[in-house]
Amino acid sequence: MSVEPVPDPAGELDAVAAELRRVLALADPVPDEWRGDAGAAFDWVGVDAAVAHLTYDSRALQGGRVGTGLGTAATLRTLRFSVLQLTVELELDVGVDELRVFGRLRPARAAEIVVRWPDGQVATTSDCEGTFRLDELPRRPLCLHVAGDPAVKTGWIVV
Amino acid sequence: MTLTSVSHLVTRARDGDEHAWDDLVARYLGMVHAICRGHGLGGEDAADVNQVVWLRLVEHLSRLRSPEAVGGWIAATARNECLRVLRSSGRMVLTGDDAAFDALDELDGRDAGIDAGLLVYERDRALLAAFSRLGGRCQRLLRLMMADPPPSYDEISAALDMPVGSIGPTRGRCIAQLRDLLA
Repeated sequence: MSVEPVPDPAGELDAVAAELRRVLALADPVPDEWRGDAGAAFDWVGVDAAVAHLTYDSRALQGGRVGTGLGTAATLRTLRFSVLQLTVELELDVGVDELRVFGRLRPARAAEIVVRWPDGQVATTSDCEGTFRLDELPRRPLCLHVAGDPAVKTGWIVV
Repeated sequence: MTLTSVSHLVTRARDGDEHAWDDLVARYLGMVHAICRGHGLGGEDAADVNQVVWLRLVEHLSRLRSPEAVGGWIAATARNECLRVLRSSGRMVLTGDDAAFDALDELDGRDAGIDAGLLVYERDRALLAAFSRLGGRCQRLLRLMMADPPPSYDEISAALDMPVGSIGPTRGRCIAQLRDLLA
């Protein structure tokens, strides 16, 4: 694309641009709920826990794709988050509309685990081997909060 | 808003100041919206991208190397999330981001989200119709530049992967095309 300036001595193009700005604002405003969604994201800051960062993602090894894509067969994705000697291993079984999570804490410990998504959450507990399972989770961005010492929260997982 | 004040907002948000977060959202929400629309995303797809962008930002606040460049970070993240949605929904098959914008030009539904029914005057409808006939690159650039508040050239560069020096001249060319379509 050329980088030569387009002459506009009479300001004609600026006038067209101003009209376009006005018309786009009328015909395609930012949806009202978007501001609330963006504001709600900040709640994650208020969860008092060390942040476990992603250290492994099987999807990254597949060029960013999960299996064969949406709308086809369920696909598997493995993730690992770590902080303060605690590792959270997750296997996501991703269906078309929902997913289930098989998890393991290392070192193993029994703990309350809360899975959060933007407008909801569900709790479970890991067993003495550190394993846990959650079914029928919504196919939304998710994060996990692991209670205990140390309390840990994962970064957001987008499936 | 100056770079200093943006940086200050990031610092305050890192410390848990919700008002600072709300100010960041107010500054960049229109830009995220324009990026989604420029990639042909509407409805739930666009809403999901918006949500993920802000979730990613809150997660990365403490790790941003250059708080004053948070707008560029948001722009690039929004672009990447749009491409992720397009890939995962099968609307675009890419081997890498280099091919992304060529493929985007082939996408249908670039008008996602626009409701001409909201326009009362025929002249406004004609302008919108002419805009929809522009190439994908022009639509993406102009949508971004028409966002409220308008992004900086650095932010536009991050959103479109376009050199800063090309933005002004390309804008002029795209607006000239729009004018010609209206003639």
